[in-house]
Amino acid sequence: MKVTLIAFLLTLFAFVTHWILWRIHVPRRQTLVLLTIFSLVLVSGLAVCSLGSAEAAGWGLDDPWQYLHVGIFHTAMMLGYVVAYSAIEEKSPSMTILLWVAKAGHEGRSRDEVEMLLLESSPIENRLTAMVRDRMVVLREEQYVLTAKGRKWVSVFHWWGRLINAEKGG
Amino acid sequence: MPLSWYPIIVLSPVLALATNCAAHVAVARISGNSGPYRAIVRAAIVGLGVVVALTLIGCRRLALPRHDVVSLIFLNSVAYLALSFDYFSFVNLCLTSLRIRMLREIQGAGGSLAGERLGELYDDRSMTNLRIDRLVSGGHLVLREERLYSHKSFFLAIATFFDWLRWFVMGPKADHQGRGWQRTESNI
Repeated sequence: MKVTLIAFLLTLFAFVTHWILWRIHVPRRQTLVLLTIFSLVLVSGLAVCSLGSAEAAGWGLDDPWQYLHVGIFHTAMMLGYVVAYSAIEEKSPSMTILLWVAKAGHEGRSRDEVEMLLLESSPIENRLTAMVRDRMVVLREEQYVLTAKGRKWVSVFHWWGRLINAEKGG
Repeated sequence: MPLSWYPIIVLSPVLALATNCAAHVAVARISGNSGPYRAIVRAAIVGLGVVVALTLIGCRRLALPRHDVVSLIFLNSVAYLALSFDYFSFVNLCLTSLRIRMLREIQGAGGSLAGERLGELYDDRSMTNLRIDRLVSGGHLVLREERLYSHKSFFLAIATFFDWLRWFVMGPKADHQGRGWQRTESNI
C-alpha cells in the first residue's frame, strides 16, 4: 500500500509542478523540460524516502526493489505523459478535422471547407520544418539531407514496420 | 515483506509489455494487414492479463493482505497501461506518420532529396484528402450529399479529451502556444 501511495504521490507532484510552471511560462523545449521535471521529482522523492526521518514517519521504503517499483511506475507514467503531451503540443491533423466537423453539428462541413482548414497550415512544409528543427534532416542547397539521427529513426521504424507487416506511414 | 516473489511483482509491467510486443508481432504476422489496430488491442489485452496474473500470483505467494493485493494490482496495471500506450504510439507512427514516410523517402533516394521533389511526392492537397478519406472509411466521419458529418466514435472522444487536456495544461495560452495545427474557429 505504501509503495502505491508513494508512487502515485510522486507522479502527481511532478504533474502539478509541470502544470504550475506551464501556467507561468511555457518553455521552448517542452519535452526536455517535462522529462527533467519528472526525473528530478523521482530522484528527490526517493532520496527523501531514504531519510531516517521519513522512515520514522512511516514513509520509508524497506528495500531496493521497492525503490525500483516506484521508479518503474514513475518512469512509465512519465513516458506515457510525454507521448500524450506530443498531441497537446502539436495537434494532429486528423484530430483537428474531427473536432472541427463535430463543432458544425447537424450542418456538417463541405469537403472544400475541411481541405481549406488544413491547407492553410501547409502540412508538408510544417513537417519539413519540424524535421529540420529536430535535426532529422539538414537543408543543404535546397536538398533535404538525412542526418545520422534521421537514419537511426528510419531504421528503427523500418525494422519494426517490417516485423508487423506495416505499410509505409503517411 | 519477503523478497522471493516481490521482484517478479515489481518487474511484471515490463514483462507484460514484452509479452504485448511479442503477441502483437505474432498476431500482426498471422493476420496480415487486415485491421492493424485490432492486433494492437488484442496484444494489449494479453499483456494486461499477464501483469494482473503475475501480480496476483506473487501476492498470493507472499501471503499479502487483501488491501496490498488490490493496491499492487492497481499500481502495476496503471504502469503497464502507460507503457502499452507508449508502444501503441510507436506502432501508430509506423502506420501513419507522414514524417517517418518522408524520412524513408529521403533514405530511399540515397540520403538526400530536393525540396521540390518532396513537394511533388507529397502535395498538401493529396495528403489532406488522404486524411479525410481515412476518417470516412474508418467510420469517424460520415459523408452525406457531399458534406461531412461527425459520427460519435472513440477517436472523437480521444480528440475531445486531448483538446480539453490542452486547455487544462496551457490555460488561456492554449491557442497561441505549441506548433503545427493550431487552428481555431476564429482564424479559419
